[in-house]
Amino acid sequence: MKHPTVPAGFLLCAIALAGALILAGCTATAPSPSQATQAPPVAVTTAPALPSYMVHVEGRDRGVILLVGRSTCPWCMKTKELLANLSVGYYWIDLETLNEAETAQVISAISVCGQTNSVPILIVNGNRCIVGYQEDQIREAVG
Amino acid sequence: MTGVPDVSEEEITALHERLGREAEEGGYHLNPDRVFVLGLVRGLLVNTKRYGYMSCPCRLASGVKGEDLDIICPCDYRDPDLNDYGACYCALYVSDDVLAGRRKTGSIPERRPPPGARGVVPPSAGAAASFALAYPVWRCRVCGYLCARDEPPGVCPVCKAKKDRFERFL
Repeated sequence: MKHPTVPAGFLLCAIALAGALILAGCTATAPSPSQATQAPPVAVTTAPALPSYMVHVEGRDRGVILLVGRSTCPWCMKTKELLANLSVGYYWIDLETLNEAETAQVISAISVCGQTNSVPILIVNGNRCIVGYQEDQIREAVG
Repeated sequence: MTGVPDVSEEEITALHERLGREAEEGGYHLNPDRVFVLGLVRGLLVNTKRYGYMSCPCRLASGVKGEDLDIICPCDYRDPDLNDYGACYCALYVSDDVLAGRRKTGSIPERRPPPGARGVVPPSAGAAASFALAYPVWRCRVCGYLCARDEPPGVCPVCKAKKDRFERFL
């Protein structure tokens, strides 16, 4: 089965959507020009901040895994349960909690998967999108 | 979206009973997995309170009713998905075979066209009709029910879809 892939250019910026949203958060906290003139340039060594709506669920490190869904969608909840049963760590975005601008940002980002019609959408390491509750595919990709 | 509207257990129970009754009256069946279905019903109620219409809990509504008519439950894609996969996209409705345990459901591919391709109505038999009709013929986009009258009915007698789900067929 052919899986949609994320454009290579996207990968240069971050690892898949998770990285893109992390960068978005990082950009928002960049120093102002006035601050830059008052302090000598230094290397950025701190981890970029996550957008506040992007929740990290602890678990085994299987790469950057992002789940986009709705807390009112039972299939999204089943996907979360499956990831919990597999003890896999991932990032979770609940579209129910976002404002319009945040929703537009996330939907724009998940369009790399080729569709923005439905949830859940699981993005695995920036090179594979799994749309819907596809238990076998999810187990094979992150289990 | 910012926050999930409150939904009471009484509202969930009432809608679940209504949907189950209407489904059976129209020859459809709700998924027998009660806990799962109650979760879907809650999602339908959340969407009703948020958008003003009962859009599918597993799809992303725009918030503009005219753009989301096809995903108001029961959605335009329910019947073909029941035929092909034994369940609708969110699995609120299941086929006779699934209900009887003769068929299992699996993941259902999304049938809804992408935003740019929606609203394209395929040519119908009406396109070739050249005779005069005493009344226009209206088709329910959800179940295919046809009726000849000046205006579509307020509610489809078969699937209970509302008037705005009808299209001019002939």
